[in-house]
Order: sequence, then C-alpha cells, then structure tokens
Amino acid sequence: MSGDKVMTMKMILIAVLASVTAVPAANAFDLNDLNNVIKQLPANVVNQNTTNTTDKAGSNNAGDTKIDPATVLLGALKQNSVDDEVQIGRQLAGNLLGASPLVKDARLQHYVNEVGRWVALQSERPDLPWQFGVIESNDINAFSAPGGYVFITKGLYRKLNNESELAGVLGHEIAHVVRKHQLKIMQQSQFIGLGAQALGREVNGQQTIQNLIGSGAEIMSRKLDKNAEFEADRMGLVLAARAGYDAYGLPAVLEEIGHVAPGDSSVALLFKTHPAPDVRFSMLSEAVGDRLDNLPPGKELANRFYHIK
Amino acid sequence: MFNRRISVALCMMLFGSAAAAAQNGVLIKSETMHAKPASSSAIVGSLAKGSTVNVIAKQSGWIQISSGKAQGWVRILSVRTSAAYTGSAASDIAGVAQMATGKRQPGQIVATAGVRGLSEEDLKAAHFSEAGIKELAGYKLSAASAQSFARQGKLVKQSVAYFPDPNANNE
Repeated sequence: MSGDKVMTMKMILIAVLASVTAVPAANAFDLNDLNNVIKQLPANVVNQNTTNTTDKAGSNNAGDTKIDPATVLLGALKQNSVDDEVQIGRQLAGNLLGASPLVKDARLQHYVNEVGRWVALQSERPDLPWQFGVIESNDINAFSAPGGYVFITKGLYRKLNNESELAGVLGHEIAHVVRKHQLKIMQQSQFIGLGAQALGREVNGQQTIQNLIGSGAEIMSRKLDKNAEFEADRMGLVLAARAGYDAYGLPAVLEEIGHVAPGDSSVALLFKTHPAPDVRFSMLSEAVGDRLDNLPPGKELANRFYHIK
Repeated sequence: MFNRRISVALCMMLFGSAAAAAQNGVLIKSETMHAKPASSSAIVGSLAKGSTVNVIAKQSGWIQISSGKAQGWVRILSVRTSAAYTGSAASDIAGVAQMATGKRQPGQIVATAGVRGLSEEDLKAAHFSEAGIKELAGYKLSAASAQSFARQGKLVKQSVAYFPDPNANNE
C-alpha cells in the first residue's frame, strides 16, 4: 500500500468512525473493509455483528445514546436530508480547524469564498451552505467535507498563480462534495446492511453526530477510490470552465505540484492519498481530448488574484 | 585537468542558463501541429507521443512548441512540461536526504524551523474548534455576492457538459 500514490484528501466517514477509537496504524485497514472498522468501534457506539444495533447501541451509554452511525450516514446520503450531511461535515471541518486554524487574513478568506461560491454555483448543488477556508499549514493539500466545506492549505495556495488555478482546485473539492464521495464509501460497505435495518429511526441533531464522529480529523488522511479523484479532476475542470475561467487552471496546478520533489515533506500526505500528479494530468488529457476546442477562451484573472502576505 | 574543470564549470553554467531560459516538455500523446492555436487552423506537421519539445508560448488551451525544425500549436493538455524548478533548494535537499535515509516523516518540515505541516498525527489528534467553525461561517457568502464578484471579473458563464470517464469502456 505504501507504494501506491493513491488519492485524496477527504474525509471518509468510515475513517471518522475509526478515529473515534484511535486505530493505531493509519493504513491498517482498507476503507471498504468495514468489518474491521466495526470491530474497532466501542460497544457503546455500535455493537458488532448484531442485527439489532438499535437496542444494544444505546444500552451502554449514559444520556442520549441512540447513536447509530449507519442511520446517520444513510440519512446524509438521501437527497432530502441535507441537514445530516451538513452536520457531519461541520463536525469534521471543526476538527480539521482544531488541527490547522484559518489563516488570519480576512481579505484572503473573503476572496476564496467569492471564488469558491461562484464555482459551486455552477454545480448541481448550488444551494448548499458552501464555506471555504485557507488553513494555516505549509503542506500542499486541499480538503473537503460533506455538506459544502472546502479547505485549501496555505502551502498549496502559495503555489497558485492566478484565479483560474484557484477555481480549478476548489472545483475539484466541490466535486467531491457534490458527488458525496466521502459518504458513498459507506454504500459499498457492509454498513449499508446495518443501516437498512436501522432505517426509520429518528436521528436527532448535532449532539448525536458529535458523539458519532468525536474528535480527530484523521480521516482527512484517508484516500478515496482513485476513480473518485479522477472524476473530481474532470468535474473540477468543467466547473471552472462553466464559471468563465480558463479551463486549464487545475491541470496547471497538477503540473506545478508534479514539479515538487517527491521527497519533499510538504507533499507527503497529498501523494499518499492521491494518484501521482502526472497520472492525473494524463487522465485529464484523455478525458478532455478535443471536447473544449470550441470553448471560448476563459479568464485567468492573474491581476486580481489575492497574494498572501 | 585544469581544462577539464573549466569545461565542467562551463557545462554547468550553460545547463543552468538553458534551463532557466526555456521550458521543455514531452508529448504525452501523438499530435498534429497547427499553424495557430485553433483546431480549425492549418495542419503544419505532426509529432509522435514521447517527443521532446521546446515550449514557446501558451494561449488559452493551446501551447506553441518546436521540435527540431518543426513548430506549431497543439492542445495544452497534450504536453507535460518539465520542471521550471520553483521549489526551494533547501526543502528539495531535505527531501532527498530524507529519501536517502528512508526516514521521511510525512507532514513534518525538517529544513525550516517554525514551519507547520499537517501530518496524519496532527489530524488524528485534532479536537473540534467551535471558534474555528464560527469564524469560518463568518465568511460565508450569498449566491448574489458571488454573482456580483463574477460580474466584476467579467466572468461569463459557459455551458460545458461533464466529461465521461475515458476508462469507462475498459472495464
């Protein structure tokens, strides 16, 4: 597993669950192998191997306790329960900010929200409560969480040359949210079986989700399926193009990242969680082909790009 | 001996200046070259995948290249450009050193004091920041604000369909 430079930033719910119990080795289990995750969950969160999760899940916990991860996750996956999705994302985003706070530069944060919100408006989910932030880290990376939370590190932001590149990077993250990539990992797992049995139960509010997710943002260091990354690249490029930007901002950033020495620690986590930048560039090249030959030239807007002091 | 040293030094200087002056690239797919940055313009040649090229210019989706006597425009995603090394020498050296020892530590900057990374350990140990999430929410913008921002930049919405997965038929 160490050799494959697979994918992404992004938080996977499963991983979140795993982080509750502080699984020792980051890559000790496959994302899709929920059996492992379930085994490592404390009894008061989910009772493994039982079909009657509801009763037993609540039995050991003081106070409110009908914590059923499967139900919450399934709810978040349903079209009509954006609230659960946003609450899950809020918890994860808050955990990430606990590790890396926002850069103290109000103009910068305002600017990325302007660009990000405009790009997100071109997506199928323009009405999510989209929030964007530049976080205080010199690593080169970007993150997203369900419900419309998108982050870019200061280290990656500094690599950018113009607004179209920022639009492309944010577009990639927006695509993960739009496609519910993090949440959908759950669907491929056995969790869905548990969830189906738990369907119909009431899940109430933020407290439940806080208990469910707990602290830690370790999931940010998990990789998604590499096809999810390639899809996010394709969609990110298109979203930036729809927004009127030069469509080639994202591939330009991929090239730039590809020029960073592979041993540089600033890209260690990114390279671990994503396909290699040159592979992503090649996949974009294949996908685009001659499809954009007739697209009017977009704008790079280097002149109004906000430079971090 | 003396001459050899000089020639080595000269070589390095030439190398350095050449690398700084021009950007090189490699064709990642076979391409026809066009006279102008448009697929409707005349075809002036073709280059095979893997060809090494010099980059002359870039313009909205197209890149002007030369290879030997051939010169023309191809789609920008057909050329992977080589590093115009922008990374700091210090961090590169640190990275190489880490690779050599096999003790590279993800997310931890070793070359520069006071620089913050974001490692798996950092993420694992993270605790929810209520202040942080509130601060973030304070920057949230309305759709109308974003539209106004787009107008200021003269950004014009385009209709572009998502691309299919190029590997979808291979499965």
